[in-house]
Amino acid sequence: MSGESDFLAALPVIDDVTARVCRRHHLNASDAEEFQSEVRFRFIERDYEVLRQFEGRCALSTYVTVVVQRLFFDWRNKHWGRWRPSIEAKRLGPTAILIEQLVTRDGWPIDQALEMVRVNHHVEIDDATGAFCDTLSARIPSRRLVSEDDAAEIPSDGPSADVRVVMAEREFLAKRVQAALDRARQALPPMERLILKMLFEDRTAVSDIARALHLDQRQLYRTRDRLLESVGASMEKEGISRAEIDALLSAPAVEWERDADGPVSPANDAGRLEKRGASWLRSR
Amino acid sequence: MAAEPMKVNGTCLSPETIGAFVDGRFKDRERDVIADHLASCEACYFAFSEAARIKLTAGTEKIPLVVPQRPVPVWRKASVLAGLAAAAMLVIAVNVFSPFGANGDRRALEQLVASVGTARTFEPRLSGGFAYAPVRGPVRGANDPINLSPDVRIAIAEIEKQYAARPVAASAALIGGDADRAIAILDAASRATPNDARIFSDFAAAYLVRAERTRTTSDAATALAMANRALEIDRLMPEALFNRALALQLSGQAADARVAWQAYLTVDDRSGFADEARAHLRILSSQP
Repeated sequence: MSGESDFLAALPVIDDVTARVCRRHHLNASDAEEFQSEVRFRFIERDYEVLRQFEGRCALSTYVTVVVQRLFFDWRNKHWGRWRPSIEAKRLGPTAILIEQLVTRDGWPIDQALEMVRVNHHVEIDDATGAFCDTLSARIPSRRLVSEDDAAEIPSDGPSADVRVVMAEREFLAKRVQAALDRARQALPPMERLILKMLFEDRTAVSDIARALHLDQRQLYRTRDRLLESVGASMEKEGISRAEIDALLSAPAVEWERDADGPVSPANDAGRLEKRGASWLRSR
Repeated sequence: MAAEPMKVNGTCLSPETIGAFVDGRFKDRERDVIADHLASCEACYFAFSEAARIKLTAGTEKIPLVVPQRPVPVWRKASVLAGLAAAAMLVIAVNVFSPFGANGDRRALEQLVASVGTARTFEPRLSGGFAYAPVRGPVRGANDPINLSPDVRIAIAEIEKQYAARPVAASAALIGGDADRAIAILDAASRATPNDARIFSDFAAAYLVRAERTRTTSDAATALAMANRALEIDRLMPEALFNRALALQLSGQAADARVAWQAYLTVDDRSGFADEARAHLRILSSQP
C-alpha cells in the first residue's frame, strides 16, 4: 500500500515530533503514551488520509510537525475541559501553564505543585516563572485541614479584604491594558500584528521571530522599536500610564534554544534537579 | 473517538498552508493573508509557532524521511557505478510503472504534471502543481480531439492502467479530453474522501471544462458549488479560488465574478494565472 509505506517512511519524524511535544508540554508518561497513540491513529485513519492530502507545498517534515501540533492543540483542549490558562501563564510558556493548572484547576498548594514540577518533570524555574508563582500563591491561599468545630474560629490564610480590593483593581487594570493593546494592534498591518503577538504574547526573541518569519533581523529590530513607540502612544491615548505600558512591553524575551527541551530521558536526568527551581523553592 | 477534528474547518488554514508559511514559501499579499489569520486564530497560531520552534531548534528537516536501506556489501563496492545505474533504472521503473511505489499516485501525478509541462488545453485549474501556460485548445472547434504529445499520452495510459479509480485518473482523463469520465471518478472520490479540497477543486475544474465545451449553465452552477466546497476546506487554495471565479463568470454573475477574481489576486498576483485573472477583470469591467 502506498499510504502505508508513506506512513512508515514518515513514522520516525511523527514519533520524534510527538516526543518533543510531550516533553515541551510536560506530559506525564501515561498522557504521553495516550497522545502518541492518538497521533498514530490520526495518521493511519481513513487509509492514511493525512499523508495522502499532502501536496508538496512545504517540506514533509514541516507538514508532519504542523499536523502533530494541531493534534496536540485539540488533545489538550479535550483534556483541559473548560479550564484555560491565564494570559500571563501563556506568555511565560508551558511550565507556568503546568504550575497554574496544578494550582488553580487541580487545587494543589503551590509548594506541592512546584515539587511535582521539579520531581516529575525536572523543570527549572526561572526568575519570571518564580515571580509568577509568587502572584499565584498570593491569589490562592494554601489549604489547611482543621476540624469542623474549630473551622468557624480560624481566620483565613488568604489575603485580607483590603489586599483583595487591591488585587481586584490590579486584575481590572491588567484587563484594561490588554484590551488597549488589542485595540492598538487592530490598526497595524497583518505581519506587524503577528510580530507583536509573538513579541508580547509569547515573549519570543527578535532573532527567533526573524528566523520564523524569514525576515531580516536588523530590520526587525527597527520594526520592533517602531511598533513599541506606536503601540505605546496609542495605549497612552487610552489613558494607560507609561509605567503600566513599560511593564507590559519590556518583559524579557525567551530565546527558543534556551527554552527548548532537549531529548533528555527523565530517568537519566537526575543531575539536573539542583537547579534554580530548587533554590527558589528552598528560599520560600 | 471523534472522527472529524483532524480535518480543518472552513475558517482555518490547512496544515500544509501553515507548513508552507513556516518554510517561507509565500510572498507579499499571500503572506499577509496568512499572517492576518495567524494573528487572530489561537489554534492556527499555536500550530505555526510551535512548528516554527521545533523546526528552528530541532532542525526536523535534517531528519531523513526515507525507509532505511540495507548497507551495500563490501564486495559490491567495486561495481558502484553499475549499481548506481541499476538503482537509477529501478527508481525510474518504480516511479513510472509501480502502483505501490513509495509515494503511489502522488508520483503518478508528478509524472503527469511533468509530461504536460506547458501544454495547457483548458482554462480551469487542476490541483497538483501544473505549470502556467496560455491555453492552447483544439485547432478547429471545441469538440475536436485534443492534440496531445506522446509523453502526455503515455503518462495518461499508465495512470489509466494503474490508478483507474484514483483522483489522479480524473486529472488524466480531463487532460485527455474526457470530462465525463473525470466527473465520474471525482464523484466517487468525493464521496469516499469528503474533506479533500483538491478533489472538490478538480471536480469544479472538470465541470467547468464540460461547461465550456457543451455550453451548459447547469455544469457551471455545479462547478461553482464544488469550488465553494473546496474553499470551505481550504479557503486559500489558489486553484479553487481560480475555478470559483471562472464558474461565476460562466454563470453570468459578473459582479460576483469580479470580486472572486480580486480574491484570487490576493493569493497570487505574480503568476501567469494572475495575468489571466486581471484579463478577466478587465473584460468584466468593460461590461455594463
